[in-house]
Amino acid sequence: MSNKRGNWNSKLGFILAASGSAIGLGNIVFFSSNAYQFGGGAFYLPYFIALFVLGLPIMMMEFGMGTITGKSFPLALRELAGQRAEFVGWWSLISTMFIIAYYVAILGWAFGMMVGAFGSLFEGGISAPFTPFETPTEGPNAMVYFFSILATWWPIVFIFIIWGLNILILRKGISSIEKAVRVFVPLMWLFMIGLVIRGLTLEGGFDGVMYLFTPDLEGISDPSVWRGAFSQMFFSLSLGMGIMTAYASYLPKDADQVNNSMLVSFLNCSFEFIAGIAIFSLLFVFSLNPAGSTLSLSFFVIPQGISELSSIPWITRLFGFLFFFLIVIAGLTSTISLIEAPAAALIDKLKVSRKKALTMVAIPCIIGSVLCTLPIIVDKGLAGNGTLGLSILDITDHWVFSYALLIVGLLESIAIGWILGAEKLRQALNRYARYQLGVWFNYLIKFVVPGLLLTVILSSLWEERGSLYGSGADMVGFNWLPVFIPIFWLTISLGFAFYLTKKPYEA
Amino acid sequence: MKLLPYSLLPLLVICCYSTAVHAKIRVSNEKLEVGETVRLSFSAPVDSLTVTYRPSSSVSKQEFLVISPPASSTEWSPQNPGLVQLSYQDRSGTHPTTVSHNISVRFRGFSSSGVAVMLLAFIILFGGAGFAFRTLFQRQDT
Repeated sequence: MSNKRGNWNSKLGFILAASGSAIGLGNIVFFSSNAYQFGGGAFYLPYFIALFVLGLPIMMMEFGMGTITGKSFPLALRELAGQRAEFVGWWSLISTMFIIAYYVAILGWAFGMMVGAFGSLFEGGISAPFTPFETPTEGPNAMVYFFSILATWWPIVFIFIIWGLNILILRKGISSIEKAVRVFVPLMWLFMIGLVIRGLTLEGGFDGVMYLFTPDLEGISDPSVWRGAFSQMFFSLSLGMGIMTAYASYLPKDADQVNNSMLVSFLNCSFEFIAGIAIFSLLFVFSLNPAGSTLSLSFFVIPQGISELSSIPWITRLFGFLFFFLIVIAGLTSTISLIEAPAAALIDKLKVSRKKALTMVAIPCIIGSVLCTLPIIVDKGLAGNGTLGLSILDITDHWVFSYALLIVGLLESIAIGWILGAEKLRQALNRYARYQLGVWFNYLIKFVVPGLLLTVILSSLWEERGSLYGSGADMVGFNWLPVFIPIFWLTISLGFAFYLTKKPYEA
Repeated sequence: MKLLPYSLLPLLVICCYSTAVHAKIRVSNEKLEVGETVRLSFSAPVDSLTVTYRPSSSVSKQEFLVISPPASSTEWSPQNPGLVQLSYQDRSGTHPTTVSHNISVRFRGFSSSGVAVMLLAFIILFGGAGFAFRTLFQRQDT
């Protein structure tokens, strides 16, 4: 298990890293939110169909690309489907760098809330410089506390701490990543199980669990339920970002990627399952609504529930601290993989050192993270996002996360399914697989996956037809942002993708 | 701004926060079960009440209670378990505001379909993970 790129010390290390990458902020709260909005247990029907017809085949394809070629995402695509496919790979990774920038900003805020758990997060008398929050609160209010942090420069300090941790973990490559995930991933499971136990032991907690799983089949006929399930599965498994290919490229060629894909996918979805139990039991007991965005649930709603968990202040503080610690480590296991994907590709293509590759990725991303935490108030009435940083983050997230990954997934399935040939991939995967893939796999990669992704992309674009995202809110002095951000992202990502694809490459 | 499924916008919670803070709905028993009758009290007499089961979801259901003559309390019995939002329009100020209150309605006994879905999902997910783990370690042993 040795070559210049380094290898995982064990298959378990790889599984922990890949599942740690897949399990992130979204898994903790997003499944609960979707399940609530789309009919509780009924959501499991489209969810499982999405897992088996979309999630697992793409995961197998991305893992397979890594082990077959031993290269990172763009170069694996180049080797298997030509130079035009390499362009798709670079576009994906440059877009991933936009995600890294704001993801670290969110982790910075989570770090601030974690510290605040032993400060004034669970105390009354908090105010924030926004019109709805100017009067000090009577009791604890997580949302006001969050906005009070958001309007300070402290988050910039916190993002440098998060960036420091990322660089520390990534400095020695796969060996230091493996050491970190061996601690972080079991800790994540442990803390989540702790939350489940606490939730279930609250009076009425089990009713919350039954509420999560009791199906309301009326919603199943709604196309948005299916679109929600397919999108959730794609994002939840960290697909379309080149991560799984980069991680798999550090495995020996005889790795069983069919089994590995099943293991990582099932672990990811199992974590969502227990997270759903924890969140529903907690929110049901305190009559809090689980519908909302990742940010509102993680930073406002769940901490509000935690603030009522116990009449003993230090227990509340401890649970609050542990919840945000869970978010920080779940986020860290994702950011290290997000950073590793472009870094590994730069090392492969430009033959630069790991230190230089990490610097090339980190510097623009740190600038992006700082922009996403700028506390300049652009919307005092909070009709939108309040600060300039959160507005930048929200609009960037909308375009990059909602479109880039799905488009990459579509293009890579076309490249592998039609240019390389799905049959060749199936044969390569089957060579070392204990359980063989049937011909149905070819149909999924060639027809079903591209068809589903195209449908999701087109239906999302159809919803955009009314107005440009973000143009409805008045951001004093920055009303040009909703137009500028998508143009900036497309120009930068496509430009750099073109530049890096054209760079000469020697295998 | 639009609140798309993947948006990070906090609008939803802000909307909930910004409802009137002085006017309130009080429920005689916050730990009620489906079908159980409770007394709802309002800060001022109201003529109608909106009950939303599973609010902010694609499968939410609404029922309107007409309170005639307007009264500052009424009896209500929830038809479905789960999260329920009670709301009315408060017209006592210069501008009408929505006063709302969330309550969790518990199941009467077990939800057999809920338990069945939970067990099925558990078996598929943890069974699948366990099966794949076994395969992984079998390969490592050989």
